[in-house]
This record gives sequence, structure tokens and C-alpha cells, in this order.
Amino acid sequence: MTSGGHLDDGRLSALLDGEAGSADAAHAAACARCAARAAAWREARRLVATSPAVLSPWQRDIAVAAALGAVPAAGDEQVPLAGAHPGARRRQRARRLVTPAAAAVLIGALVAGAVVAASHGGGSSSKSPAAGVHVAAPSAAGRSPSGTAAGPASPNGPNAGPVAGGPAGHAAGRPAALGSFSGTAPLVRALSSALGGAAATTTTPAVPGGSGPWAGLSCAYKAPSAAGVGLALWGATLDYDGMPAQVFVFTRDGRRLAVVLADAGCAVLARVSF
Amino acid sequence: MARAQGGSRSALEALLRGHYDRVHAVCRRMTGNDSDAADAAQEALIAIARGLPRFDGRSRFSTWAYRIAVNASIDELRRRDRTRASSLDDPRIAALPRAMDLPGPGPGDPESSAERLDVDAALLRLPPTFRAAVVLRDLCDLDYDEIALVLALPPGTVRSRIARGRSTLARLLSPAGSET
Repeated sequence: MTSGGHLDDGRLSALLDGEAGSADAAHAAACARCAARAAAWREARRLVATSPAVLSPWQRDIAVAAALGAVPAAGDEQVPLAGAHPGARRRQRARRLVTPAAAAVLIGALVAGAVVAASHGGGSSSKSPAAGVHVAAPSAAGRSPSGTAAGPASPNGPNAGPVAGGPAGHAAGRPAALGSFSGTAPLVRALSSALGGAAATTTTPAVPGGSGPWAGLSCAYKAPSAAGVGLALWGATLDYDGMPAQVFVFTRDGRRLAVVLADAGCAVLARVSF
Repeated sequence: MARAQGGSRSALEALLRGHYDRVHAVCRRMTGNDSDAADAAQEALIAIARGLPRFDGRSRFSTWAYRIAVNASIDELRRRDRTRASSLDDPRIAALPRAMDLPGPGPGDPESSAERLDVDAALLRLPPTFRAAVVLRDLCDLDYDEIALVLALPPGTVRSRIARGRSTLARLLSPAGSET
């Protein structure tokens, strides 16, 4: 039963699960050593049982979209999720293959993203820094006569700034190459030029960090599948400080945020707002 | 469930959304960091979507989903080890912060980062099958028979691995020197 008259691991574990016999339960109540061990085990169990928070609702959106994109459409319903981000490349994770159905969604999203996601202004006051808006793929409800679609806002809707289209090449399904950059200032100028709108107003210090509106803007957005491209407003490839990278643009709390991610690994090379 | 298995995209999306957080939680505890957990959870959802037509209902759907999440996490850990070995050859990459270094939830959130670091570090000290057994019992609240099904182990083996895993965790998470 016991080691040295105390409850062994198996019996203590059973005690935690409420499966201990009355004799073991009585012993644990009376024995200071076993009571202390049981308390420590319960605390460890509490820590394990504390659900880790999903850092960003976008993670959920991306994963669901990827899963939906991985199975063939039945034909009676459109794939309900789509991404507007056209810049993700198939590189590190070729295992996430674009299925024909997802490819169709991607092409539609690219066309849509090349026009405008201007259904709302950029002044959202969402309290959720991680919430986003999809620029939708063509769907029965969202397709315009010209075959483009503006995305429905999510309930939180901060990723809502009008975007005047991506660089040439997006509509053809190729990732746009933005150029080579060293430092954030020329990058912001190029982004402002590519996306239209006001010139750069502010830049934020680059890495490290990722709190506040930057929370969750990480390498998850490099997922190179048709579904994984979703949720960023715009994207392109570039060389940054001599490294092949991708830039993803989001709008949060009325600001455009750009995150530069190295192709290799999971490194954030720069963050700028503009 | 039946509609999702029958090919309804909207039902499938609802099913996946409804289970994502629990799948992610398993992946998070199994991999020990947010970045790998996000990847593993995404792979798990893809596997669930693809495998749903073959799900026969002999176990609870959640149990089946947990099994996929555990396997996806173990696969992700293997991939991470291979990738890290190659990408770290580039000193410029090695010098950069990783996404997993980004701050976690604040003090007011369900799990403070300091607490999480401790439990994650401790869990990673367990062999994967022991870690999975403890996570499935204490996070997912599966019973021993369900865990045995998920891990394809006899219930007695599951019981002993949970006991040993808990013992190790309690020792690692307790103040230094305390006997657990």
C-alpha cells in the first residue's frame, strides 16, 4: 500500500481522482506528510488544468479556414472563410497544400483584395487588439457584378482601413516583391505608396515586443496555404536588412500596422505603424 | 455533427470553431509554447476536417479530437527539433527574438506568464506520453479508459503514467527542496 507507511504515488493519484479507498482518504487526512504531498499534487493539477489562452482570435480563424480549405467543398455551400492576404508563399511548409477548392477561394480573394476593402472607415474603437476583419472571398452574398467582393466586418472590426489595392502581381496570384529595405523609414514610405493614403506618420521601434495592438502579429501569418493567408489586409515579399522576408499589413484601432517576418524561422524583423 | 459529416461546410465550421480552444489548449500544454501550439492546433483541425467522414462515433467526438491534437503536437515537436537544428545555423536568425518570446497574458488574465512558464517547463520535462496522459486527465478531464483509448495503452499503464507524471510535476513545481 504505502512506502514507509505513507501513500505511494499510485494511491495519492487515486486520491486526487476521488478513487481512493476510505482507509487511504483517512490516512491522508491524518498524516501531515501525505496531506502536504496531496496539496502539492493538487496545486500541480490546478496549474496543468488552467487553460492556456488563445493569444489571438485570429489564430482560431486561420486554423478553421485552413481546415475548411483542406477538405473538398460539397458544392452546396461556399467556403465561408477567406483570406485577403496575397503575399504568403509556399516555402517552409509545403505540407499545407492548397486544395483545388481552397485555391479557388484564394484566387477570388486575391482579385477581391486587389480592389478595395472599403466597407468601413479606419477609426474602429474595438477593445480587442487581436480581432480582425476578413476581406471575403467571392460568395453568393458578397460578390459584386464585377466579380469582386468586399469583406464583411467581424463584430469587432478593427482591421477596417480602406486599402487601395496591392501591388501588381497580386491579382495574378504571385506574391508581390516590394523591394529591398534597410531600416523602417524607407519601408514605411514604400508601404504608404503601395497601399495609398496618408504618408508615414509614425514608426514604432522594432523588435522585441508584441504587446498592445501588436499582440498576436507573429509568424502565424506566414502559413502558406490558401486558408492561412487570410486575415492580413495586404502582404508582399521583400528583402529586409539583407534577409528574405514577408511584410503583412493590418489595421487595428485605426492604425495600419506592418510586421516584417523573416522567411527563415519565426523572427520578427520589424514592426511599423503608418 | 451529422451535418458536418454529411458535408455541410457551415456545420463543419461551427464544429471546428467550437472545439478549437480545447484543441489549442492540449497543443499548448503538449508543445510548451504559443507558436508551436498554433501550428499544431491548425494541423489538428485540418486532420479533424479530413478525418471526420471516418469518425465512427464509438468514442466521444472530443476524445477523438484530443487524440488528433496529441498526435499533431508530437509531430510538431519533432518538426521543431529538425527545423531548429537547421535554421539556427544562420547566426543572423539565431540572434533574433522568436515569436514565442512575445509576452503572454497579463497578470489579470486566466494564466499569468510566470505561472505558465513554470508549468510549461515542468511539463516539458516529462516524456511525451506521460505528458499527454497528465494533460488529458487534468486539463481535458478524460477518464482513464478514454485516455487509454487516445494513447492506445492499457488502462493500468495510463494510471501508472499519470501517477508518475503527477509526482514529477509536483516535485518540479513545488518550492525548492520541498518533498512531494
